[in-house]
Amino acid sequence: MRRQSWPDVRVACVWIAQLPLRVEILRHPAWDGRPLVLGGAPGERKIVQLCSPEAEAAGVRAGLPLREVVPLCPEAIVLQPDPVRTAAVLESVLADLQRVSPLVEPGLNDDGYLYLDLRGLRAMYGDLAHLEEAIQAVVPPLLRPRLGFGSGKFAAAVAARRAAPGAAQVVPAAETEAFLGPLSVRHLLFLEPDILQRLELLGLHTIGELAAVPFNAMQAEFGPSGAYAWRLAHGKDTEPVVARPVITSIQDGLRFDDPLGSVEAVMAAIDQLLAHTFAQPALLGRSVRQVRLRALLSDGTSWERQYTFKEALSTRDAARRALKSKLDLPNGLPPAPIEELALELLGLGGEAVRQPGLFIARARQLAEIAEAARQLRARYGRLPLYHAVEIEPWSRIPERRWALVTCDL
Amino acid sequence: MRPVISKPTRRTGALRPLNAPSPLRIQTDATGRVVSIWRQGRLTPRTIATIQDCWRIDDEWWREHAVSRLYYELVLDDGTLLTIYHDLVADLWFEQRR
Repeated sequence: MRRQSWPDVRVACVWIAQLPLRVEILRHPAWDGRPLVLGGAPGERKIVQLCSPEAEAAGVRAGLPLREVVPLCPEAIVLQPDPVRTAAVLESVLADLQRVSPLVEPGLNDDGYLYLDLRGLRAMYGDLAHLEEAIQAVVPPLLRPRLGFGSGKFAAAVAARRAAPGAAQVVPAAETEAFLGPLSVRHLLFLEPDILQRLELLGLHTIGELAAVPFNAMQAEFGPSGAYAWRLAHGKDTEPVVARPVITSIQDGLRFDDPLGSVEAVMAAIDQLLAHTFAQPALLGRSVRQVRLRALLSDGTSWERQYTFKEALSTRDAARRALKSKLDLPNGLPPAPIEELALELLGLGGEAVRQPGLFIARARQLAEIAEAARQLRARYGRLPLYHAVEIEPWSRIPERRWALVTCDL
Repeated sequence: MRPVISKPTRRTGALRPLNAPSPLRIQTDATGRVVSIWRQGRLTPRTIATIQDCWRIDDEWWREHAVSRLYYELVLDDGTLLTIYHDLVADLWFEQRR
């Protein structure tokens, strides 16, 4: 596509393909260009989750059992998921991109997509090429970012997928339909697999063929997803770039000279972290609904868990008990000793939001009410407890609508 | 005076109407407009600051004791919001929540 100084584009998409593998290459630059395979974490199925193009060239595919990788590709480097480092790298890239555009939205599920709102940036950068340079400058080249510029998030994302690693593709608004037309409907990633299959059974293999179907027919056949796909196919993408909400959290971390392996040692470390975090003024009079634990392990991998409690906790002891019950579960601990542990308190709320169970303790409540009733009867000689019952709720006379009936306890 | 509703009894199993009216004494000005009220159990009367709303209920006219009430929603001088009504059959005043 011919590039103008600032074509009619509203969104930029930065796509880091195979993000977990690129993060490993960032740690070990010598692995760039070598066949990498991402397997499951300990306790998960032993299959290939992701593989680099070099491994694919040797016949490795996602879903393949890990034991078949080495016979196919003896030089393959098999890695375990490292969610902590992957999230940290994505977080760092996102923070750097926020210096380029104030509105940056991460894609769902850490899929490596980052969207930038370009409105108002022309005054700063003048030429789109300058903006592209600014984006490339903040993303480490080893992540091989692909850039797409489009009139909406969808067009920008597809442009990024079509761009070469480290390069950019620009799709001005007027050229969106022509650009999308020849592409496969499988670029409509939000469509369910069964919808994609039905589209292809109907002979609608490209986005252009889908766009040629009347809107009413698409909506009638595929519902809201079909209507949305039709609009995107016509370049009508009004979905805004939404900055990630700021989530208040309190965190602290510890590094250990002797890696921790037992529940007792880990709990001692957690106790220390809870003491630090619960002592922070930001948590005074507040409660915690979630805790995230992140650990760097002695085998070079990482581990991350997020726990949501049944009720908001406002004391360190309550949080400690809740975490211990989670760590005591099978596979509750990381698969290798912990070298570094970080604890983050999330879902902070007011202490008043604690909600005791209404129905869970019903039997106990009834026993307490019965005891209270016995005491009242002893004191007054009768039972001054009533049920409110509807009598004539439709009545215009207020005292006819409801009445109190004596309880029988 | 015939009470609009009978005084609830305290027998076990009896129905006690919720939101039963309680008697009220009123003072009117020369034009007949209510200017102050004296609620049951209170030591002093209260002046009415404003009348916010007024509506009438006529019901059960086919029964022996028909219901005919003129309701007022008042704000007292201390800021209290109160609903009172004039029982037009018995010519008595009552306080009652809506």
